Amino acid sequence: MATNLFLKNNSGLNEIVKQTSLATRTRVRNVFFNKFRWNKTYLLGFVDCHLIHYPTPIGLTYAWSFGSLAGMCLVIQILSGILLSTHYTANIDLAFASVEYIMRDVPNGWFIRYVHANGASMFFIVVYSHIFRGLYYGSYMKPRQILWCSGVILFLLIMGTAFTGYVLPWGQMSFWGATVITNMVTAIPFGGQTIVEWLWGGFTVNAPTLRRFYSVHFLLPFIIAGVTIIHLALLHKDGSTSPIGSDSGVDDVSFIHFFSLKIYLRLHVLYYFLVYLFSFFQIF
Amino acid sequence: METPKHLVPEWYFLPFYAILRSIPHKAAGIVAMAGAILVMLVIPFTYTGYIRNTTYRPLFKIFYWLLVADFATLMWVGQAPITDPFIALGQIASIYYFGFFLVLVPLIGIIETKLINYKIN
Repeated sequence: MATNLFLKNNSGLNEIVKQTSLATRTRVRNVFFNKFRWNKTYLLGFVDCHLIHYPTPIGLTYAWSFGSLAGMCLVIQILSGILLSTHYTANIDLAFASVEYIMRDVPNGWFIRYVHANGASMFFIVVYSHIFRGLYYGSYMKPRQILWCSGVILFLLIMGTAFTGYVLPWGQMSFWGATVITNMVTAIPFGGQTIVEWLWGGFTVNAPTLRRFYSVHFLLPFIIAGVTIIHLALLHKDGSTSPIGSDSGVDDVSFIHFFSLKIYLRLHVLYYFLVYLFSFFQIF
Repeated sequence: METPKHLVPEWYFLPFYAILRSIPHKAAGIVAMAGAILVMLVIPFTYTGYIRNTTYRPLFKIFYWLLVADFATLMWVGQAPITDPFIALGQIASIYYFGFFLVLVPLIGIIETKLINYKIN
């Protein structure tokens, strides 16, 4: 049985009625997104249904922008991280020196390093706001239970990435933080000590540990990107909740123009805040 | 080399660090720290009420903002040294954190549903 990838699965009114009412009511004729024939190919049609003319409740406040912002933070972290990885080395004698090399000798390396370090903090601010928004507006309720659970898995992955990333500059806090947290694995009964020595690659946090933390830190963001796509797919099954919480879909408008603009504005606010932070503060 | 005296993780890990330190037993503390994240998985399935938005749930609103204050308290306790007011504060904050997800969410759902359906005759 083929599942319908194009229509939002609302349990209330007739989905076809909602989609056509959205089409006739809010489509302004002379706008680019409405003049272009989006259903020429499957891929274009998919993009149109999920991103451009996707029905979103009209009452969404800025509290709903944290999810999209988190996605943008992920992109910023991946880009700045790949730029950093072209200069960083995970050798224990050279790691700290490579970070200093990025800070001093790489052109604008200091900027990329601070974007990445403070971007992680921004990522967490945005994600915590997103979680508390979900708790307040009941976004965990039926029919979005699995969506909420996919979010918790994303949160765990983000924490793992941040933890392994903090170890990489190989400063004092890096080393002792890694030691304390990995030592917790010894609490596992019967095999704890063996497991932790396998994780460390030795009898303490040392060179193999740094190398494998670098690998894990490089790998996890791409797993996060994959789970993000699952998270968005689950969201698009039933659509966003709204500040009213009625979920009836009668007042949905298209995503592009109404909410893309709102999120674009949010991104600007985030960006200027970040640039201010990066230029004047090191949050370390 | 010597462990630095003021060993704290980054600010975003501080609430979970506080929950870890508030239980004296090592393994129980670790289970509590992992549990603090995993407990968020249960609320979709333990919420017993019918109203989605906290705007229309005045009783729950109080406890929601207490949770926000509790999270901020845990963050503060996480970076504080393990001395007198912070130990008790961390333990109370941890108890409220777990109590919110495991006890308060279903309980307040039941109370609100009963209040809505209460008939005066």
